[in-house]
Amino acid sequence: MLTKEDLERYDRQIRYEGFGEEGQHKLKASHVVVAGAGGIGCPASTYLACAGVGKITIIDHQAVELSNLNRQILHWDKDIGQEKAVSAANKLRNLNPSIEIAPVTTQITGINARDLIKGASAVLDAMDNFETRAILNQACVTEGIPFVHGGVWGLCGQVTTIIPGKTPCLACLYPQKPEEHKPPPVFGVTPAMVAIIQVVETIKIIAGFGRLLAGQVLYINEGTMDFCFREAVRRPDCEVCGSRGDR
Amino acid sequence: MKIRLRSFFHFDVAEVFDQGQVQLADDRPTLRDLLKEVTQRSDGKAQVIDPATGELDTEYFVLVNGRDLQCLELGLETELRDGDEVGIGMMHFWGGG
Repeated sequence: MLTKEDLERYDRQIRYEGFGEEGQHKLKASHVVVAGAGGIGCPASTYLACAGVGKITIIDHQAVELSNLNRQILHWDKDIGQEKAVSAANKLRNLNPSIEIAPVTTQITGINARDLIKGASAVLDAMDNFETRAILNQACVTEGIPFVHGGVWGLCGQVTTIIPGKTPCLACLYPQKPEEHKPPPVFGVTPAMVAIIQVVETIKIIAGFGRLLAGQVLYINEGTMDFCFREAVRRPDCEVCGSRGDR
Repeated sequence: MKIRLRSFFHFDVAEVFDQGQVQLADDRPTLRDLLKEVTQRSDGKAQVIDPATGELDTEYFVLVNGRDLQCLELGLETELRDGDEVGIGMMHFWGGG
C-alpha cells in the first residue's frame, strides 16, 4: 500500500505510462541485492533508493580508500577506513528514509552466495572481479533470480540482463576466466553510466514494463561514443544453465 | 577498399587508423586479413588473432555489420566489402571496485 508521502515522493515516475501506482507498489514490495559498493554499486544503489525499491541489500567486505573517491560517490573523505557497505547504507538511509537498507560486510563465496540472495527480486552485479561474478551467476541461476550484469574497463563497459531459464547466463557468454589487469584505469562516469542502465533494467524487471537487454549485450565505448548490441547465445552444454549444469 | 573499425575495448582505433578506417587491398580481403592488420598495427595492444591457434583470441568478439562472427557461415574467411563496418571488443569484468 502506497502512503500519501510515497505518492508525493514518487509522483513524477508514477506519471510514467505503463508504470503508475501499480509499478510503484511493486518496487516498494521488492528486494534488490546490490553486490558491491564500489564504482557501479554506489550509483546503482543511489538510484534504486531514489526510485523506491522497498529493500536494498548492499554487500561489500572492503573498506573505503582514498583512491576510491573519484568514482564511489557514496563514500566521502570522512569515510576512509570505514566498511563500504556501512558507509553506503548511511548515505542511502538519509537519501530515502522510507525504505530498508541492509548492509552486509561479508565476502561473497560459493558457500554463502545462495543464502545472501535468497528471496531477492533481482541481483545487480557490481563486483570488481570475474570469480565472484561467476559465483553470483551460478547462485542466481539456481535460485531463479534475475541477474543484471555490468562491467567496466577504462571508458568501456557492458550490460546484459540474465533471466534464468530464458536467456543465456554469464557462463554461456564467458565460459572461462579472462586475464584481469589490476588496477584498471577508470573515470567515475563509466561505471556510473553502466550502473544507471543496470538500474533501469532492474526497475523494468520488477515493475514488468518495457523491453529488457535479455539475450543481448550492450557494449559502450565512451571514448568514441560507440554503442553496439551483441546477441548472446545460450550454450546447450553450459556448465551452469545447460545440460551440464544444475538447471 | 575501406573498412570502418569500431572498438569496444582499450584500443583507440583513430590513433592507429586514419578516421578509424582501415585501407585493405582490393583483392577480396577477408575478415582474417583485417584482424591480422589490426593485430600488427596495434603494437600488441590488440592481439585479436591468437598466434598459437591462428583463430580469434577467446577474449574478443567481432561483429561484421552488427552480426557476430559466430553467426557468419565462413567465420574468419568471410569476405569483406568496401564500406563494411567491423566492431571488435571484449567483455570487461571490473566494476569500479
